[in-house]
Amino acid sequence: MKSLSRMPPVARRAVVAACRIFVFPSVGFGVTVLSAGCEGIQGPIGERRDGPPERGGTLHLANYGDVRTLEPAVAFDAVSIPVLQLVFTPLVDYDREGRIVPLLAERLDVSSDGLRHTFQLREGALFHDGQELTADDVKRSIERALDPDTPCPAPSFYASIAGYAAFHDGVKDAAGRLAFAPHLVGVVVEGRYALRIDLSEPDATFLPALTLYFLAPVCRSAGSKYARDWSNHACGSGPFRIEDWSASREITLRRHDGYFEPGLPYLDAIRWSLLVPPLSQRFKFEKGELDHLRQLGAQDLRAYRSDPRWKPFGQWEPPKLVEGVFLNTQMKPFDNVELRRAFVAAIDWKRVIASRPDAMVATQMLPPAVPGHDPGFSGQKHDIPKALEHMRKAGHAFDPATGAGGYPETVTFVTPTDTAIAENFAPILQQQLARVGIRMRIKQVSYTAYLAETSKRNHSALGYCGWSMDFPDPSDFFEPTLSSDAIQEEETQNRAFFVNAEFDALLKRAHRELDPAARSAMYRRCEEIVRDEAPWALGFHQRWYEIVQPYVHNYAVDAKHTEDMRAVWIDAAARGDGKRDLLAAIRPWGRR
Amino acid sequence: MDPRALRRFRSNRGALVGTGIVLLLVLVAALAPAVLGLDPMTSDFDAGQGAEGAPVGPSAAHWLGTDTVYRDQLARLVYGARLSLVIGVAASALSLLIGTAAGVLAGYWQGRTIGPAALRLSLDGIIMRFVDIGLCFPFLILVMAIGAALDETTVWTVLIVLGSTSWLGTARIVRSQTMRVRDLDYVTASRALGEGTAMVLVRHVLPSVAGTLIVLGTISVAQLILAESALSYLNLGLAPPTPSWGHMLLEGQRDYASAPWLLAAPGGAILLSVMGFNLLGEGLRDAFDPRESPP
Repeated sequence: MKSLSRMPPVARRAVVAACRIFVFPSVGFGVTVLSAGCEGIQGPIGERRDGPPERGGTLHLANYGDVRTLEPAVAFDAVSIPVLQLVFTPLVDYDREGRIVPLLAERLDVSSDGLRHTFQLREGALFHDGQELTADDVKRSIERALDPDTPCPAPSFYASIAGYAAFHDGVKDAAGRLAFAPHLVGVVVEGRYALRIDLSEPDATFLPALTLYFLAPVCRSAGSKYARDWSNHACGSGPFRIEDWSASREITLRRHDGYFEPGLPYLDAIRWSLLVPPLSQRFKFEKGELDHLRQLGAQDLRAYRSDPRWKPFGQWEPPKLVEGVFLNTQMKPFDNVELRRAFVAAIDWKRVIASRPDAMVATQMLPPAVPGHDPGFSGQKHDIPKALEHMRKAGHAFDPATGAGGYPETVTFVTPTDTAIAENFAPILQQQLARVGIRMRIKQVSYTAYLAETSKRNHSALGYCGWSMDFPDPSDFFEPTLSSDAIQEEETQNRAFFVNAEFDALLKRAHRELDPAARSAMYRRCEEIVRDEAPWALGFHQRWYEIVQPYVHNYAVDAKHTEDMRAVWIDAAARGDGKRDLLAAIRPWGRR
Repeated sequence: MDPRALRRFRSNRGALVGTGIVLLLVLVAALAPAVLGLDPMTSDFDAGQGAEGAPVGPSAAHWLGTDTVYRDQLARLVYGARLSLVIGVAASALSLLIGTAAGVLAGYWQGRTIGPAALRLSLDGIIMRFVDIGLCFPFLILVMAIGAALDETTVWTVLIVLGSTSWLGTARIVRSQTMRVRDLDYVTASRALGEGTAMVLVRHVLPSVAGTLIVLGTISVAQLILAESALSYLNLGLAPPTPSWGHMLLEGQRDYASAPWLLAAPGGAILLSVMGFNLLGEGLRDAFDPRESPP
């Protein structure tokens, strides 16, 4: 830029005018927006009034993620499950107290040996295409989902159904060829509305797994074989049907008038915006373009939590995740159990998670939402002297005063990039481990690379790990993550490559044990093994804080469901015009 | 230095402001870590942590507040300045080196063919087509691809990646200047008097492009500081917890609505330093080459 005084008068006037028109206002605008941000959050829109449920209205929701498929036999991610919940109905479901109750089935009888489950279906339940739902449809849907050609991510949840192996895995005939049974013999249609499922062995996880959407009945248009593009016009028997799905943008659900639960649903429609970043969600919520807010940044979460105007409309969802650090028990240096114990004792998780109001320190694998979680359990503990003692036993004595000794090499911590773990926790972990003589390097990689690297044998010694609940049963937390059955050369979930005979035997027994008290004793022992053998440094349970606008009624969080909008209704009068113009105060030409 | 150039530089207000900013940056990067006495890597769980685990805003203990893991924002900014300057200056030097070599090679031996005569490959053609292809490639994508291919990013890798991808423009300008100088009468005369090629390059060609190089170098420092910030912003730069302005921006943006200082500090630092180097570069250009600037 040249000095103004040396410019010809015309040019000088032009520059000054340009500054007046563009530069000064934009700087001013920027400052105003920033300071508007400093002022804090806007209050709720409308008011909460008591009254009977109202019908009608459209609920607006948003998610940071994208829905890739709405095929119930295949979808298994946190973004699509809340949508599946509205579109499909499983045979059984959890009630608010965490008991398994019939949903699509009217009655469920389980034989005393736990092997025979008899379902009496509701008469007159309709699919979205108007056809009546019968026991044949249920059987067809189950076989369709467990068909060997269907890319169902977790068919083994149902491996205890009689005939599963012959149907899903096939049996070798005399000539050595693999032959598949045409039907799943354990699923028997006993009448138009009666269905029986026989198990080959007692299985305490069968009914919990049946509350998932994999086996939920699908319309006859889905046929008896999985087809990739059926998901685009998925059709089930849930309270809402899919009206429109523009990929990566928005899903519109419309009320299903033939839904079997009397009176439900209240809403006319639900509109779900996809790929909306958390900060945009917050501003859309403040503007009244969203009715519910769940994905909040740490700072915004604090702001909403501490604002008395918002207090009545926010609630914590019971934590359903456990996260921490895996220590590869088959790789140097963490094949040494003493070094693992030193690692675990060196970390003060209370400080590590101090910056995240949505995390609570974990003492055990099972998060509070899962039966078997024991608030009184004495788990892994932060204890520097003990950590130093373990370092000494591991042969790497460390003197904190001089910084001499410790494990001589730098260990690499692998974490997916752009996550709270990478940004907030890893730097503090690094500081804390240095105090006992473990030098750690942080390696941030994309999520895909993280999955590939940490799930390969002899590849990553140390890294982030976590597990999110599929269904509320302890088996779901221990079996995929730490059992030796889960170990594969690649793509294993047992990132610690943890092998422990007692642990494996306990898991197998607990899986078949039908007595709840005996079962929880076994899982408690599993918790003790994890604590003492330290394949994971158990860190924290992440949880969600959920806020609705005052005019949104009947939204409840519970331990089993996520974003359950099935019974929500909107008080249209209390909402008013429902829109707020956040920029009105600073827009030079006033309100639009 | 030509006294007229110095006079022109001194009377250019923008150039002086730029010089001031750059000097300030260098001073801060060199001295402040020692003066400040704060560690950019250590979390302060006492004075740095506010209510409900929120980071604190500007205060006596932390002049620019703390970041989301309670590290001093000012200390991180200052260490980040060090990183940005080192990478900006060194990568710019590297890019000048490669660019000048390629430009002189292409310009001085323009018209010379190499390899089998039948192919009629000209050295100039090969170099300049390579430059053209390189310039067609989106710079950031190229840098990102190289960055992603490297397993571990260090100061050296960032520096080499940036330096080795940003010399293309320099090569073009140096080539045209070399071609102009090569055919000037006094250069022809000195060749006729028996001066060798190396001497001609060192005594005549390089001095005549030196002014341009200084200007290009200064401006490219600004661009490379920006490029380094962009890389760290995209999580492709140095791995945390190394303080870097781009990464601080990334960390700050999530919560900018409630903790604006997390965004304002690194943003302001990037703005200021890029502006400083640009003003200085343009001032130098006006001083060295008055013909190119408007009357």
